[in-house]
This record gives sequence, C-alpha cells and structure tokens, in this order.
Amino acid sequence: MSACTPRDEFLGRLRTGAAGGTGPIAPPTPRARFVRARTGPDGFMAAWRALGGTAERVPTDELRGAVAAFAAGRDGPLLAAAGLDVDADLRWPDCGSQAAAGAAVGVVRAVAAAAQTGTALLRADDNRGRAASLLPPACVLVIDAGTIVDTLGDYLRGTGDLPSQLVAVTGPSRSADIESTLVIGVHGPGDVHAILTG
Amino acid sequence: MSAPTATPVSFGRRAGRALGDDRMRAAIARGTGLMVQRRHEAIAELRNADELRDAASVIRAAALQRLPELLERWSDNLGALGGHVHWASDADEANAIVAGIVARRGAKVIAKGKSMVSEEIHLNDVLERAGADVVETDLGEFIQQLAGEPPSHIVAPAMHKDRFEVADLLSADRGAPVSPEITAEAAYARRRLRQAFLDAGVGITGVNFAVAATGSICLVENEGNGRMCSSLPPTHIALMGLERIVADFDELDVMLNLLARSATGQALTTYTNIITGPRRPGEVDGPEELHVVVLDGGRSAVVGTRFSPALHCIRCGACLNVCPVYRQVGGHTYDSVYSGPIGAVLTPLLKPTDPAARELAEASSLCGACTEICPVRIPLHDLLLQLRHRDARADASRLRRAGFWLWSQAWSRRWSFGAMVLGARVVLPLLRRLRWLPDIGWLGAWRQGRELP
Repeated sequence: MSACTPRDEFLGRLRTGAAGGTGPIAPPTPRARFVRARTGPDGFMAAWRALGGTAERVPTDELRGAVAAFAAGRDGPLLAAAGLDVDADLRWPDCGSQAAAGAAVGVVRAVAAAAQTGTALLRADDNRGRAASLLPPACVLVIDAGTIVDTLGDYLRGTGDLPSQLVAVTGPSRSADIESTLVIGVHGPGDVHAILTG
Repeated sequence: MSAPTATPVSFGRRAGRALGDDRMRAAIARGTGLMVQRRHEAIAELRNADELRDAASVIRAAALQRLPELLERWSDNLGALGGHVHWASDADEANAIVAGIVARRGAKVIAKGKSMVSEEIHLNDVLERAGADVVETDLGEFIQQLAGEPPSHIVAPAMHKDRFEVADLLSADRGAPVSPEITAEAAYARRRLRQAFLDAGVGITGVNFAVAATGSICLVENEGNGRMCSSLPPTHIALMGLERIVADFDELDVMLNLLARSATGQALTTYTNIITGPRRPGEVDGPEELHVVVLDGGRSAVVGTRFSPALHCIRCGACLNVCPVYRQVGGHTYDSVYSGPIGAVLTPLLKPTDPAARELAEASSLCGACTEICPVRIPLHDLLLQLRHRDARADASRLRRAGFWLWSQAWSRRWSFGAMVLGARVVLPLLRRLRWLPDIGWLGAWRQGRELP
C-alpha cells in the first residue's frame, strides 16, 4: 500500500490543535419544525407529487394490478427486485446490470417513507439491492402505508442496524446545472411512482 | 473565462478581465439570483430556522473540538464493517493512495462523482497520467471536464456558462450537433455517461458528512450519479476533508435540514445516501471494497486557532450566491478550488505559503452578506478582516508602520485632525482645479473607484 500517514500520527496533530479549546460541548440537536406540517399517507403523497412524482394508494391485494397498469404500454421490460410479489420480465440481481440498464421500469419496496419531505427509504439488504431502483428511467416504489413516519430524522433515529447502503429518495432525479434550470431525470429515474399499500 | 494560466496575474487583473465578459456575468447573475431566491423560500418553510442554525454552528464547533475522538470512533466502526480508512497528510499522499488502489484493482475506467477534495488535490491529473480514463459524471462537472476548466461554483460547477456554450461542448464531444435545449443536453449526458458507470472499475465520490456513531458516510446529490458511482463499480473510493464529521444521527438530522435548503433550496436533495461499509454477505449488489481517504491538507494547522470557524463550512455555496464580488467576477477569478467568501477565507488558510492565496482576503467589500446567510454562522467577513490584519502585520515595512502610526496619532487628536480636515477642504479643491491629483501606483488604483472628500 502507498505511503499513508499512520492514524495515531494523523490524529496526534489534531490533539495538539484542539488542546487549546475549552473542553467538549454537548451540542443541542433541535428537531426541525415546519410552517406546513405534512404527516401520514396523505401528507407523503402531497409532498411526493409536489416534487414531480406520481402517487396512488391501493389495497394490498391490488398491488400486482397497480404495477401492471403503471407499466402498461412502456417500451421495454419490467424489472423487479427479488422477493417482490409482482409480475416481472426481469429479476434483480439475477438478470445482471446490462439487462437491468435496458429495463423500462424498476419496481422496488421501500422500507419506510417520511411524509414531510416526500422521502422514500430504500435499503440495500434483504435481496432488495441498489440497482433496480436506479438504472431504469422509471421507478415504482412500493410503500406500506403503516411505515410512514414524519421526517427522515425520525426514521434514522429509530433504525437499529444499517445495511451497507440506505438511500433516502426524495422525488425524481434532477439537475439544475445548466442555467440553473430544473431538468428531471438525469442519471437516476425521472419518472417515479409511489404505490402506498394498506 | 479561461482556465488559470501559467503566469501569475493579480486578482485585480483577473477581475478586470472577468468584468469584460458580459456573457459569463449574465449567467452568474441569473444563477446566483435564482439560488438566493430558492434558498429564502426553503428556509422560510422552517419555523425554527434560527434555532437550527444556532445548533448547527455549535455542532460544527463541537466536532472540531472532539476531532481526534470522533474520527477514531468513526474509523473503528467503519473498519469493523470491512471499510478501509486511509489518512493522508497532504495532496501527494491522498493522490498516491487513490492511484495505488486504482492500480491494484486494475481499473481502466473511473466514474467520478462530485468531490471538492478531489479538485483540491488535482486527482484527475494524477490518475490520467497513470493511464486511467476518468469520467466526471455530475452534469456540471462533466461540462467543465469537456471545457478543460475547473468548477466555478461549489454547487453548480458550470453556472458561468449558458446553454449555447454547453451545446457547443457537447456537440464537440459527440461529433454531431446537440441541440441547445437544456432537456436535450441533459438527455445526451445521460446516454453518454451510462456506459461509463457500467464499465467503471472504480467509482470515486466526495463525502458530505461522516457519522462517528455508526461508521457511516453520508453523500447528498440530485442526479443519481453519486448513487451510481457508489453502487455499481466493484470498488468505491470516497474522499473527505478531516473536518467533515458529526457525532450521530441527531446531529446529522440538523445538518441535513439546512444543507440542501441553503444550497439549492430543496428540503432534502433527491438522494441522501447513507453508506455504512462495503457490500455485506447476503446483499445482492454494491461494491466489494470501500475506501475512505481522509485529507488533512493544511486543516490541522487551522484547528484550534481563531480561524477554525472556517472549517465549519458545509459547502452549500450560499455565501457565493449573495457575495457582491462573486456575483460580478464569477468563480474562476479567484483562481482557487474554493471561490467566493468561503474561498477567500479558506484558500489562504490551506495554502499559507502561497502569496497569491493571501491576496484573496482583499477580494471582499466586507458587506457581511456572507456572514448573514451562512447556515452554520461562520463569521466570514470578520475572518477576512482578521486575515488582512494578520497579513498587514506580517508584511508591513518599518516605513509603512511609522506612516500608519503617525496617521493614527494625528487622527486621535482634535487639533491635528482639524488641521487635516481644513487642509483637505482647502488644498484638495485647489489640486483638483489644477488637475494635479497623482494617479501613480496604488494611489491611482485606489482613486479610480473613489472620490476624494
């Protein structure tokens, strides 16, 4: 391995610098309070739509139909994460990345959602993986209405173990890098549909 | 605007050139104006924005005071999960560490997300010299890479270009015309970069926050390229400055509530990635190796000094957007990775021996708009003043010192102050009438922008 500074030496330099301080402070960590509070499934759907996504709420046994209806008429296969009970042309991860990149729609299950900001939480463990929600231009996020919390902070504080990647998805992929003008769907999916069940 | 040239040119000269670039100035005026407006609207959604900003300021200060302890805890936790932490004292070490990993993994294509630290250490040059194909995947960074220019804004790297300049660059890259419509330009970048993500042997990203309690790194972004770089290639390398640490998720929550609001006016960025180690046994995808390179790069010399609040910065770019100097001259005029007020403070601190960096402390009207908007309440214009004070003391010749001493003596006595005012009232109009006002040296430059009393 290349020459890298040993940790003790690296941190030692900081000990000398920080020694001038007045000792540790316990920082306050207030929760954000909002002018317009959004809670529950309706709050989530309103926030998600405001970001440019679409959303619907269906009874749990109608999930399969709702996914099929969303995917109908699209030009390309439907990709679903392993273990998700929907009709799919491709299963992640068995299909491989090149095939996944050619899918028209990816369907994944979110473990929870935060209503305030319209945020769906995706975990990389339990066969869910990372790529099914990332490569196709359209993404369906299946969310159990009972898992909706108020904010991302509430979810993070309440979660025990963490997978290698937890991603909080707040709307469609976007960029404002050219003339500060908003464009939807740059690298990630630009067409995002939330299906709340239960 | 052109990239920094080999011959050193003073800030004033660079600013003079920038002021003649109407196209760039129009783009910057538009971009900064929109970002300020969006930021105000997003902050107004918070009932307790001031309370959160106060807390964020304390969180950052506390993190700097507990740096060794927090970094140790974070690296122990990440190491236990199979992540590799590398400690780099300077740019050369950081570059060697990254180049070493790239060589060992035999990576030919490198997909790179946005990282200011990588700009700071000029990583792309090093990797390209070693034969790797480094592809910038953030839309703005991709445009800048095609232009052969460094970023001109911390958050929006190509803010200084209009859609027509972007279309020219993309058309040259494609070898066929790309329409100067923003959606078409973004669509081209999506198609063009997609294969790079799939082919890349290594993905490189920055880090917004490292979380000590869990060993996580948090990476925020809007396009999805950060997710790609950290998910698809078999090796993920993340670069961070040593100050980028928080204790736990309570602290992270406060910071996340402010970062995107201050930067782009969003409540949260589209993707908030919380990465805690490489792929675990039983997980179906994700990188086999995760390396985090922690850069000192002059920061440890600032910790614990009166300038340490400069390290509280969370790279939102809000101070650039409100700065009357930045808004007139754009980012490249600073000739530094970090531009605007935070760049004027940070650059001389991280490069203490570079005389050109010290000059940046002068690039401010001290209006205080930067201090007012900073989400973590860095007293930016005060730090600029303190830098000037420090440099003036270090530089002053005996003659200059004596001159300023005499002046201060004269102005603190009623009779001599009165005599000088009288002199100014009588003598200056006379000089002006005779058109005999000296335009030589610094006095001439000083007088160009000011009226004598």
